[in-house]
Amino acid sequence: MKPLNSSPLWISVCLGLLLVAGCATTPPPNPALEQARQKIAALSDSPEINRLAAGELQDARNHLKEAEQIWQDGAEAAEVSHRARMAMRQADIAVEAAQARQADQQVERLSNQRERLRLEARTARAELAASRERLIAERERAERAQAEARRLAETTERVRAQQAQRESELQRQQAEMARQEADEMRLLAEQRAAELERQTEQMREEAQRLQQQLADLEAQATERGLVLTLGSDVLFDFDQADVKPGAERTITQIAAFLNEYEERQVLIEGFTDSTGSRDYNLALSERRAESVRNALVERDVDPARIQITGYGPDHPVASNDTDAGRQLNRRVEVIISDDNEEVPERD
Amino acid sequence: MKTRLPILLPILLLGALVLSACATRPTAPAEELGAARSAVASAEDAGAREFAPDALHDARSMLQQAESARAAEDYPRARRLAIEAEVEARYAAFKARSARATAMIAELQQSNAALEAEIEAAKASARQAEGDAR
Repeated sequence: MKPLNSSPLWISVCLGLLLVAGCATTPPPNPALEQARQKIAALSDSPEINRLAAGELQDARNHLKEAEQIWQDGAEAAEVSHRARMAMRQADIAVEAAQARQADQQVERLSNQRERLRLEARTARAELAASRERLIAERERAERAQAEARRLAETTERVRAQQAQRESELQRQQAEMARQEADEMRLLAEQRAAELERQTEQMREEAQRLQQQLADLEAQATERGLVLTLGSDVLFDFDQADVKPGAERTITQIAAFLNEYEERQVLIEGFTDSTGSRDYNLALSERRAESVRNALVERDVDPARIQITGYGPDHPVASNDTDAGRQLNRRVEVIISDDNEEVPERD
Repeated sequence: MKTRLPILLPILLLGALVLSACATRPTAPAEELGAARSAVASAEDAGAREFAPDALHDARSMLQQAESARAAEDYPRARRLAIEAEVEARYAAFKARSARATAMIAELQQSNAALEAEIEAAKASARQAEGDAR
């Protein structure tokens, strides 16, 4: 218990020593410390610094406290200023730290926003691509529909054109057929015309030939018609009525002429010379005329067209006093009408 | 225990006296110098060379002075300068970080605006395409 009694003395000694060591007189003001004090006080009032840089602010305060302490303890001014500057720098750090954190937060916010925007952009791009694809698909569909419509129109047009072509072809064929028909008809007509002409020509030639023949037969054109005088000596033997074979050519020529001109009528007149009895001569001349008629009928001349008369010695053409005259008088005259009227009898 | 307190107290007080006077032989501030060096390196890593060149320069020059003081065995000055260098370096690091973030904000704002414009354009194009499709 003894040391307890002596303790107040120890304490007082120790305290005295402490005071001496601390140089505890009122220290002179330090501008750096003052500045730091003000700055840190201002920062302590800032809610942002408190919120964002509490640790750094506390560090600054601690440094300030230390500076205050050594200033209070009467430390060297350089040391106090050094400590004050440290506190000041610490305050600057608090400011920068607050700014950096605020910026970091903003960076984070913006980064998040950027992620969101990237996503949104990707979506928008995808939607745009989808829209474009839809647009392209829509356009393609429209184009296909147009192409289909065009194709249909072309087909319709083609069909119409083919139909028109077929129709025109048909018309052309019909026209061709009509033309061919017409050609054939024309050809036929031409042929017929040519044929007719040929026939006409033939007939004319024939007629000419016949005329010539008649001319050969020494036909004479008279008022009664064509008169052919055939010498009886040529036609008949003496005192006979049968036509001699040698006269055939003449008879055939006459028959041909009559067959050619079928409308013409014929009158056959027989004559004799005056030798012998009259009645006998009349009968002989008539028989001779009939013989000529028969010869013609044999050569296809219609008998109804042929009249006969026997005049005997009447109507002599020459004198019966001479042989030559009598020869001329012995004759048969074939008179062929110019038209279809019967040949008139002699007066 | 109560009986021992009166003896302990004076011993404690004496110890405190000895410490506050710092009068004993000072040692080299190796710890402080190491901290300052590492703070400068951190500031450089934070991009202080680009974004806080003045503060970084100050911190480096303080560190250099601290090293010189230590070489001269002026240990109190070396310690003080080392601590100042460390604080300056930390300041440079924060400043760089803040400047970098600010630059990034501008960049992000720009790119976000571009994205927004792109989105708007894409939407408008899509609307137009839809309109054309109909």
